[in-house]
Amino acid sequence: MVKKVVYFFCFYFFLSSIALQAQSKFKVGFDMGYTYSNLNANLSNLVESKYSGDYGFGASLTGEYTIRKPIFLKTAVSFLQKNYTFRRTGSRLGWYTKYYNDFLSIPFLVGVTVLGSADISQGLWLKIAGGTYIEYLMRLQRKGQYIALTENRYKKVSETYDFKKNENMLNRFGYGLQGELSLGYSFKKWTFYGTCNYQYGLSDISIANTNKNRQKTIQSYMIAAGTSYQFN
Amino acid sequence: MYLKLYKKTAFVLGVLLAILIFNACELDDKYPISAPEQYTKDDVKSYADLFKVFWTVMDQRYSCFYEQKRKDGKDWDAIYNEYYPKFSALKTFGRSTDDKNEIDTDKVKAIHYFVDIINPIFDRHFFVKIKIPLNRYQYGIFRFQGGMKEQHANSYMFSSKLGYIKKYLGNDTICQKYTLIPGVKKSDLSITYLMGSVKKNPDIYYLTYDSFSLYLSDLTKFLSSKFLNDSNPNELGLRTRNIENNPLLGRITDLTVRENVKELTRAIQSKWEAFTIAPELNVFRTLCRQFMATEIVSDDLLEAARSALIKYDELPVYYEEETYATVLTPESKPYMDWFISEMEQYIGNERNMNDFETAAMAVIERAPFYQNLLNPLHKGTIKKLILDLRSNGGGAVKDLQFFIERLVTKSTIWSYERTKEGNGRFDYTPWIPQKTKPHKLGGIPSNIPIAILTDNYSASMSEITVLLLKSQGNHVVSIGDYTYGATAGVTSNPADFNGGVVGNIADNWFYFYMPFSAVKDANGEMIEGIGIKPDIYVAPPTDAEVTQMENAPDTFVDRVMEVAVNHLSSK
Repeated sequence: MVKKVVYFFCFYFFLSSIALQAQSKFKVGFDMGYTYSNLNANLSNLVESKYSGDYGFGASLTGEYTIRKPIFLKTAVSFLQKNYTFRRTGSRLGWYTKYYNDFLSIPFLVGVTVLGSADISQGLWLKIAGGTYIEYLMRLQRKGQYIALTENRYKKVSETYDFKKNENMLNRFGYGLQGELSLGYSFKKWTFYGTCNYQYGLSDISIANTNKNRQKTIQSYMIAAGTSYQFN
Repeated sequence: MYLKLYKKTAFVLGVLLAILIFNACELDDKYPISAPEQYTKDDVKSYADLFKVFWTVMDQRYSCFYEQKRKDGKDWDAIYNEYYPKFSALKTFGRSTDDKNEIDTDKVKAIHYFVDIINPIFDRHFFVKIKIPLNRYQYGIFRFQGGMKEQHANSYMFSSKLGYIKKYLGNDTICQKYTLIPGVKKSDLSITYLMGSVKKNPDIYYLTYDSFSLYLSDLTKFLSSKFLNDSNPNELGLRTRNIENNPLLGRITDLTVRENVKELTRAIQSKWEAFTIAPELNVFRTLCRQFMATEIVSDDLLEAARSALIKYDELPVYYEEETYATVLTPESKPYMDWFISEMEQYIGNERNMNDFETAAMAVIERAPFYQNLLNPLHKGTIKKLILDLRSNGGGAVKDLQFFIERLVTKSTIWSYERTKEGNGRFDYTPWIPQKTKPHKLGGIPSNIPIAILTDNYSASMSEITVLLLKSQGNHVVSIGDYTYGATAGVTSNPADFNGGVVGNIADNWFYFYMPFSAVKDANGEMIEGIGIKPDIYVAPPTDAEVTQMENAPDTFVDRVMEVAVNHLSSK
């Protein structure tokens, strides 16, 4: 299943780049950086329990097409680690689970250059963009520490989640809204830029939940640096 | 024109970004969810409410929905969709305006619905008591549990076993019952055990007990008291000068009485002080320290406990007014009260003499368990063991550390356990491997053949014991019937695990007894609701055999015991 999804995304990106490159208004870029994610969940009925954010790694292969100056469309194939931690607090401190989620994400953004002009041969520019994304959870690893009651002690456990059994009824497909702010400097065809984006998950991470009050969604930030090349 | 488009687009995107960023700060607990403990009687005004509270508590806290769904294919939402309309259709609820015939009809329907819902629950620890209106004025408490429609096989009840099993055992048979407090015979918490070597083959030692409360035998809890390390008893406490210079003593106007009071209290004090450094007590202290390092109850320790207690019993009873009867007057009473209070502080708390009394009595009471079972197991003089867990419904996990680990020689995974974590119905922790570990002081020196006897009422800790000991190798066999199939963990504090409920909910409309975890064996198989298959199956007792074991124990033949003795004799 994972392979099929990866093939789909690669094929999608390949077709997109061919089509857009032909119009000579197309940039291909690559950036990588850190992510910071958290799970938005209502734990008000649980005692001394909370989710907290964690850092991860992210990398994106981007494609950007200028529709009409200064407006552009942007898409990407992104590998994003959306990590977070569940932990007990207070008197129950010691039990925790670190969730390492590896997502393949595809955003569909429309943006505008608000400072400078991105297609000039040289100079500084600032862009903002917003839109939606879809994602697929490729792998989940959990590392935690739990009370082994019969051993009367805390115990560390690490496992790769078995999606075939899917005992926690996790939803591998997700979607949400994405916003992005980029600052860059262009040298003729090459551009170097820094970008920060924010993904606000709208889909529940559980396929079984029917209670909106108990919905759990992921929020994620990414700050990255990269370079792009303009075809013309 | 481009400029306008540019500005509009920038504005729209800017707003979108702002919305996204502010959304990031959305409060988690915008709509607080009621925890089961927060429900009150105001939440239960009808059968529909009764069902809804039951459904919601299960939804939030039941730990086996994944396995439950695999077993009967029905998910918890489907239960709600099917039964909420049915309960809503029951219009009465024991109100003064309800028709009494309809109340009865609705009661029968409600019980029927709850049985239909709860009977398929395969967790065998789980039960719930629900209050249901009987008429306009009264309520009945009805108990529902998983598998409540199933017929259970006959069992070897513990009380019956005590009657007949002695005929299989030799002259060294011991049967004891004790509670948490040495010397106290009646308590909700007690242990009764029976043990001795098997007549037919004295190499085989037999042990049975009514529940997993063997930890009550644990002497380390009593002998770790501070009094063992009381190396300088003259440094603290009541001093003679406190008596001499006491202003309360000066208020006794009759000089003769004052002198008598002074002499009496000084005598009492000095006798107690002398006891705190008495040779008998010091010997007992020394031997207790040796026990803490070895867990061996020697004859010397037992004798020292007896000697010290005899000496202790000879001391004047400083806390009873009778002791002071000859000098007690209204004038001397304030001084006496002060003296008793000071002595209590000094003898009880600083010299820990109360702990001594408990410890010495515990040694005397619990010594047979150590001297006949635990110490011989450690020395290797018990060569083979029958552990009879038939009709043992379980008990405390700490028995694993106190007793079962003494039969463990290697560290290995014997089960996996999982609990709830987050708020979702299926939010589980990973499966946590549970490993055996040999006892730190009193374990067996090498594996011995062990036969564990089980029946359909061997539950919970009995099943944990079977799983744990069988992980040690083929020298451990289980003989008898399938066990009960109740392996999930239960705790009085489920908030520690974010799952399970034990206690009253909604002002006594419910009493839940719901485990907080799920357990599977070392092969990854769930045995909840199924039970552990014995290595050697022996059919459960027939009705005629049950009658015989109760009424004619001398002629009753325990087929499981016979198989176990023959099996171990061949090893």
